[in-house]
Amino acid sequence: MGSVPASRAEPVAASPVAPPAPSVRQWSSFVSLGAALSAGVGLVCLAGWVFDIPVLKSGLPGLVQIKANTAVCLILLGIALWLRKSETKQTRGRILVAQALAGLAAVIGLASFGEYLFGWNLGIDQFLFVENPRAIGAIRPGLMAPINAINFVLLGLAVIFLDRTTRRQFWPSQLLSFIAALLALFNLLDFTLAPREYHTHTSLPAAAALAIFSLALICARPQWSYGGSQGTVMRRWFFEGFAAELPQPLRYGGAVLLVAVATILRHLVEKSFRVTLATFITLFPATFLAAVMGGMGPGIMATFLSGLAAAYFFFDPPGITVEKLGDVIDLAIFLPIGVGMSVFAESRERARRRSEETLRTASRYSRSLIEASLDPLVTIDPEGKITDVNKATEEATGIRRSELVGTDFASYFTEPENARASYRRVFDQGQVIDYALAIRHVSGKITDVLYNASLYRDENGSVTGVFAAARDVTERKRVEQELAAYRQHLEEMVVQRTGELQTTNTRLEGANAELETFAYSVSHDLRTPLRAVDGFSRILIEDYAPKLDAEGQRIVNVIREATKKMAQMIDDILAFSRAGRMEPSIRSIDMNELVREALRTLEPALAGSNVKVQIPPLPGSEGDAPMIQRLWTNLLDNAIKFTRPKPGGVVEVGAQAGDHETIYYVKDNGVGFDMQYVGKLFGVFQRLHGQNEFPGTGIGLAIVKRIVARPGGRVWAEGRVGQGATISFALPNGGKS
Amino acid sequence: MNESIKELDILLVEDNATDAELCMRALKKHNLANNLVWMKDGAEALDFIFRTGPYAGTPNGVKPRVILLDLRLPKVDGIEVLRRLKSDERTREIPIAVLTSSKEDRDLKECYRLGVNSYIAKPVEFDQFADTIAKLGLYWLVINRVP
Repeated sequence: MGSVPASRAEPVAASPVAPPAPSVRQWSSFVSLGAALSAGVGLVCLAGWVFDIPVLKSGLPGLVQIKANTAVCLILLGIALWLRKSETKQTRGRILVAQALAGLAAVIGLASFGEYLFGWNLGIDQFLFVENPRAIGAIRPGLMAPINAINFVLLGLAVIFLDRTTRRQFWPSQLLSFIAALLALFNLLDFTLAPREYHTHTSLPAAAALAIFSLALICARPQWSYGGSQGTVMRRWFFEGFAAELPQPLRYGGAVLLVAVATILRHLVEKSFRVTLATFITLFPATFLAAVMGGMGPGIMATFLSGLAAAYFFFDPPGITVEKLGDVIDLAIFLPIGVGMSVFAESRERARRRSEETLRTASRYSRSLIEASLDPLVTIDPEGKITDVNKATEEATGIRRSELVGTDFASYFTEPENARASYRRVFDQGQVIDYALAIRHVSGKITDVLYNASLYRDENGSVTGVFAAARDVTERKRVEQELAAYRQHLEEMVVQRTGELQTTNTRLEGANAELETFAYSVSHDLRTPLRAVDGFSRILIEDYAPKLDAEGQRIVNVIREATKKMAQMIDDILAFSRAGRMEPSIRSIDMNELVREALRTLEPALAGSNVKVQIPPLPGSEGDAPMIQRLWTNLLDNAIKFTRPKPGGVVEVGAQAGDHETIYYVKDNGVGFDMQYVGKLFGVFQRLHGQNEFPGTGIGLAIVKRIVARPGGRVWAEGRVGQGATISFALPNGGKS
Repeated sequence: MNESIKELDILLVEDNATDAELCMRALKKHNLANNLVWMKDGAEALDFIFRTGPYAGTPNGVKPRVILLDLRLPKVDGIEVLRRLKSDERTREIPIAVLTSSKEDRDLKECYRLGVNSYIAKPVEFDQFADTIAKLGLYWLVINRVP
């Protein structure tokens, strides 16, 4: 019993209710044949009675003739079985008719048996035809053989209760048919071995018809089986030589049949060749076959039947008594061997069935795993035809497995050519990974999938097909598209914002240019009247001095001072504005020179003060030279201004080069400032001291801040009241220290 | 101004009357304003030099020994006057000193590009202003020589 490989087209996990297997049809044709044969034999025999043709009644010339009632009973049973042969096509009327006919046959049989047993005369024997009282083998004219009478009772009941089962799945009709078959076979056997001795008073047609009919009746309802599915019965029987899964009655019937055939065979061989054979020479193989094919029950039965047959037919004297010692020894040897064989066969069969069950369980397990997969799985043969699918594939396509199998794999995709290319590549290269395809559902819905597929092989290693698993990536694709949309949106927003910024920038540039024009106008237009004020007050002093008293002259001087201050303020505002809007030309600069230049312009301020300025050699940097000079001027001017009042004032310039920027500082020990106001230091017009104390416009450090900020530098201040201040600024040095 | 002018020392082009007065006063102090003509805008100055417009028909041209030119002028501005004078064969040699209140670098650069002979930012302070003007006059009328 080889394991049936999980056939691709016929998965092991068949549905619990198996569809009608092909074998049932074959059984049913045998049933039809049995029914027809039975009725036919009855009809022919009846015709023999009607036309008084002896050979039709006896089958062979000179033998016992069939009784008219026997022929009628055969016809009744034949028709009844014909009506009931199909399990499914049953109507109530049909069943009733069949049961009535079978019941009639049973009644006739019962009556005949009663007549035989109790010596009654019910007047039924000669009811149809009158038989010659001297007819061969007759007990009484027209009375059917008792063994046939019993058979008609049994078979009639079996047909009536054909579809009855007990609670434990036992079929009474099967048992009745089986007993009848046993009797009929014995009848036939006796007839064959001793045709002219008339032990059973039976005719050849009756014995043969009853034997066939009982077997057909057993086959009419073969459900009472030993286990296993019916689909495999015929295959087992014909191809594997083991009938373990045959219906139970058939296995017992087969055992009986084997014993009968063996008995006849030995008898015929002995008779034909005039030799004496060992008693069990044919019965032993028959018993062996019965044990192997039928299991323990049929084997043991065949053993004892063989013993009985040997005793009855072959021992001397014939009959059921055993008298010779040799025969006793034969039996004593044969019976244990037969029983042992049967038990052994049974245990082997059970082991086989266990391993088969294990295999089936394993197979069912792997199949259930495949079915449990949420990914559509499919197998494809080298022609691209689907050979198997799982549930997920059915769901993805909306097509049932039975309709998918055998069709073109590629036809279920939006791009059939692409799908075809995918499995061709598997056959060429052994596998594909993440092959993008889209399954089309019958409803039109598209499922985006990634296919992973590889070759699978049979146990010899030759390629059987492609196993492909699809992963549903619809959700992933949706998310990807969503992300792409977000990205797109983001890019659009960036573009839009950039545009807005550019617009703002352009507007700001426009405003800046306007401011520049304004500052230019201011510088020019304010200066002229200022000069007039100054000039004419000067003229006043020069030309009209005699007419002005001291107070008058003081007032004119106040006017001129104010004019000067205003001019300075205008200059500073312009410088501040220029520092912000001029595009600096960044070059490598020599700080030492710039500081020297700045100091030179401050000489008037230095002269007459005791402030000392200390300037060590300074590292160079990068920047716009004129602007940086202005920066130094402002810082030094500031430092000198706030240090001058203190004795021993020192202004110290210094620098410290870093990796990316150079920090310069101007440190003084002058009046200093309160760190609380450090935030105001670099604001426009912000002053921390009174105008009278330290003159200034409050723009100097604001200009410094602007100049430093242009190339990306920074400026900061530290100070303490009365201790001095340090203004530091850092300029990028282009990475060189 | 009048046709009796035979020899012209200074042509002052200045729209601002007070500036012009301060300027002339400074020159007068050093006796440099004897032959001085004052034009109030650029167009008049050009007409005067090239004998066009109101000055058409006047006899031979008068070549000032120096032109003191303000940049911000009505009608035709100082830069334009400078360009016209310096691009004309007849007037190219006349020394032109720009006198301006502007401290803009771009004006300075533009003037020199056009061939100005001198560029002076007017000091606001009168003392300095007077001093500067006086030096300017002395230089161009006394020290400097022209062909």
